Amino acid sequence: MDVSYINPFITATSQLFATMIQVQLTLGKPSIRKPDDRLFKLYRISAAIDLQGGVSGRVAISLSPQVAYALGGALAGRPFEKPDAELLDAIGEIANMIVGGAKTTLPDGGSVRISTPQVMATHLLEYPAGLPVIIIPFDTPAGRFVLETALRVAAKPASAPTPTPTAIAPAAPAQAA
Amino acid sequence: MKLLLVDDSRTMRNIQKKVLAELGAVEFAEAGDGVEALAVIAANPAGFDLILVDWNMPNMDGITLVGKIRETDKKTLLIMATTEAEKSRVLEAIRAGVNNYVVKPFTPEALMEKVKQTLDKAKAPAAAAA
Repeated sequence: MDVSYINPFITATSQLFATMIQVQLTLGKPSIRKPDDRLFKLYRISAAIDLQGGVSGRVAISLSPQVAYALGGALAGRPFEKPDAELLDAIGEIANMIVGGAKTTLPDGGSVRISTPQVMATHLLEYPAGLPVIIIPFDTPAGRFVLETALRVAAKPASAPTPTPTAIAPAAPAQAA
Repeated sequence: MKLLLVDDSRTMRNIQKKVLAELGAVEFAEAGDGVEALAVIAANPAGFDLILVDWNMPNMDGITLVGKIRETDKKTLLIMATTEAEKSRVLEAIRAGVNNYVVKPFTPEALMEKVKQTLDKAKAPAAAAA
């Protein structure tokens, strides 16, 4: 796992929680999705964003309804009790701000264009074939959600090697308002 | 004061409304993309004091919308409110004609500060001339 392509998403998630969501956030241990992992057994709602350019692929967040209500409610400033259109919009906007924020610090992020969010039931979430899926879990008081990345880096012309960061960035804990 | 909020996320528009209602007597109009925004602008001949524009939207994105507005209107204040934070994007938006730029995610204070800064700067030349 090249952390250059993981840390921006962790940092962007922390930044979002610190500014607009203000819910306690703890980073779990990233891992590679196994072929027999069945995400839809744990989560029900997903929001995916596609990337094109120097880095391409798909990034998605997946949540249980309870976590979606908590995070969507914290962002929107109103309670949710069912997955209505407004909740799904809020979850889509959360994904948008995470991926948009990450793009700024991704290697070659300036060349990347992102899609508008696609919100869907988790069992419908798919990734481009052949790409490893990195799972980045986050824990909140309402429960866990995951951010998954399936990214391909465009080949660059040969040049002097640049050092690759080896440490995964910690998620700065965000305090509830 | 009349503000137009252009963002494909209703959640984001509601957040912006809640924050900017603190400005006082504010009337809000909304649009979910650039095409809808142009229709709202056409339907409001008295115009808007300020338009907040998202970048990434379906049908017509924010940078295209800014360009289309500036073809005929150099006066209306435009603020890009977007996740696009690269310097190149900010410069592109400024060249297209925005008056200010706020990066999402933002705190309520940061959004309010940018809007007030933009409104105050627009009043300053008029105050100097008086």
